[in-house]
Amino acid sequence: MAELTIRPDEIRDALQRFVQSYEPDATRAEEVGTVTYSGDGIARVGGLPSAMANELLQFEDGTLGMAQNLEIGEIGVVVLGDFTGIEEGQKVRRTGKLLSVPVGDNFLGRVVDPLGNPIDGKGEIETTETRELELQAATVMERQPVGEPLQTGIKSIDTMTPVGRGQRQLVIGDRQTGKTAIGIDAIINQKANWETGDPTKQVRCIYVAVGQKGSTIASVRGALEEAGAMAYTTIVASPASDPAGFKYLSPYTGSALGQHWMYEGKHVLVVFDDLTKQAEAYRAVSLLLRRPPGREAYPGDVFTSTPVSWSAAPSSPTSWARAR
Amino acid sequence: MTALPIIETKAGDVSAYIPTNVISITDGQVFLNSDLFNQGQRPAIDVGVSVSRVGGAAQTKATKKVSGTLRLSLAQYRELEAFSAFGSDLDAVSKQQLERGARMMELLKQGQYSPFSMEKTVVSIWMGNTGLIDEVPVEDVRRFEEDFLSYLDREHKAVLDTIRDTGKFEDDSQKTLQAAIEKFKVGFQTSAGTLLGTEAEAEALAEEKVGQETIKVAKGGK
Repeated sequence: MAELTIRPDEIRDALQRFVQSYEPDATRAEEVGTVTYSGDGIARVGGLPSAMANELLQFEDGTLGMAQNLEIGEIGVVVLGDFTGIEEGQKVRRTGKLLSVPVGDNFLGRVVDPLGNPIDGKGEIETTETRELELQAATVMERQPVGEPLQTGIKSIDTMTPVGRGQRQLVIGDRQTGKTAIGIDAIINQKANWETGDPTKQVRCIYVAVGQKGSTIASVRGALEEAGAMAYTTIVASPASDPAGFKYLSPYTGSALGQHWMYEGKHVLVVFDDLTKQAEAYRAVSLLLRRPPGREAYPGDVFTSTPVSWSAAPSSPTSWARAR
Repeated sequence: MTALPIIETKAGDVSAYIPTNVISITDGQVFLNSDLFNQGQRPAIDVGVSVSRVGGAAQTKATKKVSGTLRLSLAQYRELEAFSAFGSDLDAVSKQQLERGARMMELLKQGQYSPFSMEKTVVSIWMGNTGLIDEVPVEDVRRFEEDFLSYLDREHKAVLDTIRDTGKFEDDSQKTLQAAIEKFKVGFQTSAGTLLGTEAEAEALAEEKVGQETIKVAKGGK
C-alpha cells in the first residue's frame, strides 16, 4: 500500500495560488450616488462621500459630469453634455479619473470640442496620450525668461509692443475692433517657421473659440485653411450654443493641448478668443451651483479659475516664462 | 508657450472689473481703439495704452534698431496733430514732423491676413523713420511700400535675406537700401499721375553749339 505523503512544497504552492488569486478590488464596496436635483446643466448628487474635486462622474445614461461643489451631504455637478436625460433618483458612479483630454500631434489641423472630440467630420483622432485639465503650474525653477521673439507679423506690435515666446500678451478692445484678426494674423505668420521644419523655430498654434457664433468659427477655420495655416493649428470650439460648462472648460482644453507640446520642448501659441465669455460662463455655472456671488455677480475666484487656464503654464506673475 | 488671451471691453473702458484684473496678470496688453478703427487706422492699435513688459528682451537687433524712437516720435506726432487741429500756423519743423508722422501712421496700417515678415517690417519702418519717403504723397504711401518691397524681393533679395538670417540691420544693408529706394522713387507714379522723380529738365543748347549738317546728294550716274 502506497504511503500517503504530504510534501510541504505542494502545500506551499497551493497556498500561494490561493493567495495570488485574491483580488482586493473584487470585493471593494463601490460608492453609488443618487441624483437629487437636475436642471440648467447642473445636477446635485447625494451619496458619494469620497468623490474628488473635478472628478468625472458618470450618470445612468452615460453622460459625464464634473464634480464641483463638495458639500457635506451632496455634491454639485456640472453636466458635460446633454442634461435632459438626467432625472432625480438616477444612479451616479464615480470614475476615479480627473477630467482629462487626449493630446498629441494628431490634433493639428483639426477642430475639436472641449472634451477633445472631433467636430469637423474628418473622423476619429487617434492618440495614445491624455492630459489632465487642471495640473499644477510649472514651478519657478522650471521656467525660463522670455528671450526669443514671437513675430506676430503685425508691424505696430512687432516694433512697439513686441511679444516674446512664453509671454502672455493681452489683446483688449471693444467689439468690432479687430481683436480676432490679430490672433489669426499671428497664427498665419507662423507659416514660414513651420515650413522650415526646424523644431526650434516651429510654433504649434491653438485657437480657442469661446462663446462665438458657429458661423464665425467656421469662417476663422476657412481663413486659416486658405492661408495654409491649419497644418499646424488646432481649433478648440465651444460655440455660443454650448452649455456654460463647456464654455468654461474650453480654455483649459486649449492649454492642456499646448502644455503637452510645451513639455515636449516645442513652441506653442494659444489664442483664447475670448476670455470675457469664459468668465461669464463661469459666473453662470457658479451661480447655478449656488456659490456666493461677488462683484458684478462673478464668483470670488473668477481670476484664479479663469486665468489659471493660461497662467497654469506659460508664465508666472513675475513676468518670467518658459521660452518654450 | 505663448498666449494671446482676448478680452472684450465695453465702450473702451479698460478700468472695468475683468479688464483691470486681467491686465495685471498678463505681461502686457495690446489695446484696440474703436475710434482709430473707424478712422481707418487698422489694425487699430492704440500705441499709448499698449505695453509689453518683457517682449523688448526678445526683439531682434534689427527690429530694435529701427523701432527705438518710434514710440516717442508717434507720441509727439499725436500731440502735434491735436494742437494743429485748431488751424494755427506752424513752423517748418513742426510741419515736417506732422508730414512724417502721417506717413508713419500709413506705414503702420496693414491689411487683414497679410502678416509682414521681420525683415520687411524693418525696411518699412526704417524708410518712414529716415524720411526717405517724405516726398511720397500720404495717400500713396501704402502702395509705395508694397511696390518697393516687391521690388526689393526681385532686385535686392540678398539684403532682405541678410536681415532675416543675421537678425541685424547693418550700415551696408542700409546703404544698399538707400540706393535702391532712391532709384525706385524716380520711377514711382503717384496717384495724381505724376512721376516722383523729376529728372533735371534739359537746358536748351546754346545757339553756337547747334550745328547744321548738310546732306549733299550726289546726283548723276557714273
